Amino acid sequence: MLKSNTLIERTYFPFQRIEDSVVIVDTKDRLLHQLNEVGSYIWEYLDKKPSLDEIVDSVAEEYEVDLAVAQREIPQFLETLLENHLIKISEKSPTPEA
Amino acid sequence: MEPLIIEEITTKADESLIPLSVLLELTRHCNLNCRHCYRVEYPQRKEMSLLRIRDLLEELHKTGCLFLTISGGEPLIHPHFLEICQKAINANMALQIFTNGTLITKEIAKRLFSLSIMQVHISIYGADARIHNYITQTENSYERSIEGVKRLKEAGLNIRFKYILMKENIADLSRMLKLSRELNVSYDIDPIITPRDDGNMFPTKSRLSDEDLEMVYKKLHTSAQIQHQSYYYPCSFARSSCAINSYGDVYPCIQMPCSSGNILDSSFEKIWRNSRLLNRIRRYSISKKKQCYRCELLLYCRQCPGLDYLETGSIYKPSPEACRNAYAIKRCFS
Repeated sequence: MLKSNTLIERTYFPFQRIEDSVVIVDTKDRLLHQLNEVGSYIWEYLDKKPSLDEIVDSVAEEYEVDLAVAQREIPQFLETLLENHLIKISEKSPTPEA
Repeated sequence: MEPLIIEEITTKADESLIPLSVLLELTRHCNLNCRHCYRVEYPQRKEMSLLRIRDLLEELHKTGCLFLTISGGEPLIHPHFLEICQKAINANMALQIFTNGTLITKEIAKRLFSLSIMQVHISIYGADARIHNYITQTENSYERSIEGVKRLKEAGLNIRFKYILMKENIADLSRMLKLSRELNVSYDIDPIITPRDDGNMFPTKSRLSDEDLEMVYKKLHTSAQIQHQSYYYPCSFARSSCAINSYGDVYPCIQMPCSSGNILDSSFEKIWRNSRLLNRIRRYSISKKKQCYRCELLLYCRQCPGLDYLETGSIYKPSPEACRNAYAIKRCFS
């Protein structure tokens, strides 16, 4: 289960943007995956190793979608990436108190 | 998110002229001396430096390359082979390697596995040392190649044999297929022997007879090893694929050695977008190939513009060898 502060990053798999979609090569299982436009945006946003919250905010702003919709749909998409071993997650360390 | 088949993205790349698949020759040098090899070395020309190759890998990815094939000569002869593989992986490209396997050590096999190499293709020319070493004209090459195969398998890599069939090894075909089964290695079979890339026809002396060609296609028909391509655009050359030789020449395809520019003089992207040769080739279609367009063998023809060019000097004239192969395939169906 992804939490709002879960940090997300890509595992190593070669990928390329072909027109409006990102294609990922799963070299282990010899599969190709293609992401749609928003999925491709998220995939490239993972450069920043963002938290779930940061991804949701960024997509909501970029595509002008309702925050509640983004909060519902983006974790589902990320879970699919996780099941396919295309991303890995870690917990954000709490900010030390001053 | 859905699993894709390669044809879908190739079609998209063909239409948008994205160099999705590139073959990069690291060196022309080889430690074997195969009788049928197309490779010609030009000692007066300088091969690309490591620095230029490193920059080129970045350029290739930036221009749209996803699938990179590292080839030679024998690519493992290159003193920076592993470093170049690592750089290609860092540039987010999926890598496959064409090698004879003779220089694969346990350490190299482990390192290649850690790099998530997609596939290693190994050229094998017989089911035992006698014929293989005769064709490679190199003692112990069979033993060393098979040892390399075992090391790669042990390390967990995906391997595929490249079987080139010729009159010297055709009698060994059944044993070669058995060898694949025994080692649990998949294979590609190719009965096409091309002239050398300077036009020298010597390798073609090894071509199979008409009867043997037909026998090969009959045998392969059941195992579906022959791929039929769209015969309007026979392949993706210059549209979504190209090759770069070790001197930096950008070719529409490794079988079509005519330079569309040199990456020592210009960026890859500029050559890919602006080369007059590539742009002319992109207008290629079978309908412009008068002798073939209405030919009764067209359905059976593998339509290789590279072979046409090598044999006739033009991509619009049919290669006699392509016609001979098409006829052999047709006879299999009749």
